[in-house]
Amino acid sequence: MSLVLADGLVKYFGADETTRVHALDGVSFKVNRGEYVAVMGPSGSGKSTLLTILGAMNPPSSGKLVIDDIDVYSLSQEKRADFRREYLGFVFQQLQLIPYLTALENVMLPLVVTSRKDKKELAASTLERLGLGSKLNRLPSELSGGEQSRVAIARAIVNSPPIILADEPIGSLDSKTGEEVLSVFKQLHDEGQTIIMVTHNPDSVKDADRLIQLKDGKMVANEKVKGQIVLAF
Amino acid sequence: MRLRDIAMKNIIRRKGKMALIIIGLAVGIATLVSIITVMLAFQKNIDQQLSTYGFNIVIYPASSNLSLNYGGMSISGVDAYEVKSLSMDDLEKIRSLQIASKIMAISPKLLQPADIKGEQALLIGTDFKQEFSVKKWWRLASGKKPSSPKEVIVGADAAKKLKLNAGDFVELNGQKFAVSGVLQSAGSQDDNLIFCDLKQVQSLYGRGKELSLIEVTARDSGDTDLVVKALEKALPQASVSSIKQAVKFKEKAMSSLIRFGLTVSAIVIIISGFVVLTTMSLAVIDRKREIGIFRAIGYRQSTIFKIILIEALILSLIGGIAGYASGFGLIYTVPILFKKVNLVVKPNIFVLALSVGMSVLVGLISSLLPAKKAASMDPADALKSL
Repeated sequence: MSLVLADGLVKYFGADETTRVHALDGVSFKVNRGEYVAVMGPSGSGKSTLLTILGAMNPPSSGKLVIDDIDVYSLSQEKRADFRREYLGFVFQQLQLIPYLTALENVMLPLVVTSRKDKKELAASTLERLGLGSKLNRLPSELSGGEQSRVAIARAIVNSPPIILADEPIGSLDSKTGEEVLSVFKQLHDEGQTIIMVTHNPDSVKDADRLIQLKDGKMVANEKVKGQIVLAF
Repeated sequence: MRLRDIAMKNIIRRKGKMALIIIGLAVGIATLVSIITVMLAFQKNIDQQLSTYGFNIVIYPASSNLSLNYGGMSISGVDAYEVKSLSMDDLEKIRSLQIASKIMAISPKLLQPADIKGEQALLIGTDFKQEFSVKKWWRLASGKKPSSPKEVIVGADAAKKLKLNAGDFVELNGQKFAVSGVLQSAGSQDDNLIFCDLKQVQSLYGRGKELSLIEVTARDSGDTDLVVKALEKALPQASVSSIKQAVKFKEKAMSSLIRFGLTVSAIVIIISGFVVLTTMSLAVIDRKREIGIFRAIGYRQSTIFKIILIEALILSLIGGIAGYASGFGLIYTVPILFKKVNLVVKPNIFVLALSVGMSVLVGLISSLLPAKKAASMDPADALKSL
C-alpha cells in the first residue's frame, strides 16, 4: 500500500479555457512508505506547484491527493493545517528559519501548537541527533550554512512526520555544505523516513530511490535511480 | 515556548514599528487621562470652594415680605418683624430627620435691624461656635472670639461705618455689649453685619423663639440636593434653597470644557486606532514569509489570529500604562510649574484601569482586521515569495 497517491493532478490558472495556463497537467504517481523520491525539472516545469499541492497548501484544479488513505483536499482549511503538522515536515528553499528565534526555538515551533509536555526536550534531542547539541541557544545568524540547514531539517522531523518535503534544500549552499546536508537526508532515509525532494541539481538525486521528471507541467519520467541519471528534459 | 513567547520575541525584534504602536496608543490615552485628571481635580476644587461657602443650604420663611438679600437670596420678613414661620422648634424637626447624619452643622439665625450710634445697622443673632466652625475663612482683623453672650463681633464694613474697634462698647436696645473682635473683610454679606448671641437678640427685641433663617451644611456637597429635599418635606411652611449658583456656574463652564476635552480625546483615540491599524497591517505584510512558514508547519488560521492579537494585547497594555503615566505626569507638573494654578492632582486607580482598558480595547479592535488578514494568508502564496 503506497503512502502517497497523486492521481491526475491538474493545476491551471485563469478561468478562460483558451487562455488558461497549465502549471501541472495530469500528474499521477505513487510514493511508498520509506521511499526517497526526487522530483526534477527545469524552471516552470511545475515542480514548485507540485510541492505545494503535495504539501496540502494548494488545492489542485482537478485530480486527487491521498496520503495515508486520507483525501487531503476534502479536509477543511483548519483540518489541513492539522494534517500538515501531523503528516508533513517541510525543508524550505533558503531554509526559512525564524531569525529572532534560537535554534532550539525554531525546532520547537511545530510543537508549540501541540499538547506535548516534552517540547523542549524533544527539540533538544532532535538537534543533538543532528550534531547541534552545543548550539541550541544560537540564533540562525550565529550558525554556519550547514548548521542552519540541519536546524531546518530538525524542525521538519521533530514531530516525526511520515513524510518530509524538501524544496531545493541545497540550492543555496556551497558544494561541501550541500554534501553534508544530502548525507543527513540519506541518513534519515536509511532510518526509514519517506522523503520527497524537489531539485534541479542532478547531484542531489544520487541517493534517491526514484526520480520523477517534469516538463511543462507533464510527467516525462518516473523511474528508479540506477547509477547515471538520464535527464528527460 | 508558548505563543506569547513568539509574540513577545517578535515585538522585541521589530522595536521601531512596535514603539510606533505604543506611542500612538499612549498619546491617545494620555490625552484622555489629562482631561479626566483635570476634571477630577476641578471637582475636588469645586467641593473645596463649596465648603468655604460655609452653610450651603438656607431655610427661610416662604410667606412674608422680601426685604433682605443674603448670599444672593432674598430673606423675608426682616423689616416687618413678621418672621413667624420659622422658630427654634424647627431645629428639633431638622435634627430628628432620617438624613440628619448627612448634616454637618445647623445654624439658626435671627436678623434684626438695630439703631447703633444713630445709624441703622443690621444685627444678626447666631451661634458663634457653629459660625466659627463652618466659616473657616473668618479671620479677625483685631480682637478675639467672643467668650460670653454679652460680646459681639463686627463685620469689616459695619465697623468702618459705625467707627467700632475691638474693646469698644455698643448699646443694643439699652443694653451694653462689648465688641470682642472685628472681622477681616471677606467680600461677602458678613462684612455689613453685627454678630450677636442668638438668645440675646431674641430676648432683647422680644422675638421669642423666632428665627429669620436657618443655615444648614451638608457633610458632602453631593448630598446637598438630598438634604434640601428632606428639609422641604419636613418644613412645608419654609423655602429651602442651596447656595450653589456660583458653583453651578463653574460646574457648567467646566462641563463644557470637559465635553470639549472628551471630544478631543475621542478624536485622538480614533487617530491612535488608525495608527495601530496601519502599523499592524504593515507589520503583517512584512511578516508574510514568516506567517507562510507558520501555516506550512501546521499552524491553524486561528493560531495566527491569536498570535497577532497577543502582540496587540501586549502593546496596548504597555501603551495604556505609558499613556496613563505621561497624561498624569503632565497634569501633575502643571501646579508645580505654574504656582498660580490651584489644582489638587492625585493618582486614581479608576483612571489607571480606564486607561489600560481603553488602550486594550482600541488596540485589539484596531488589530482585528490585520490579524484576520494575516490568518487568511494563503500559505502557498506566502511561500511563493520564498
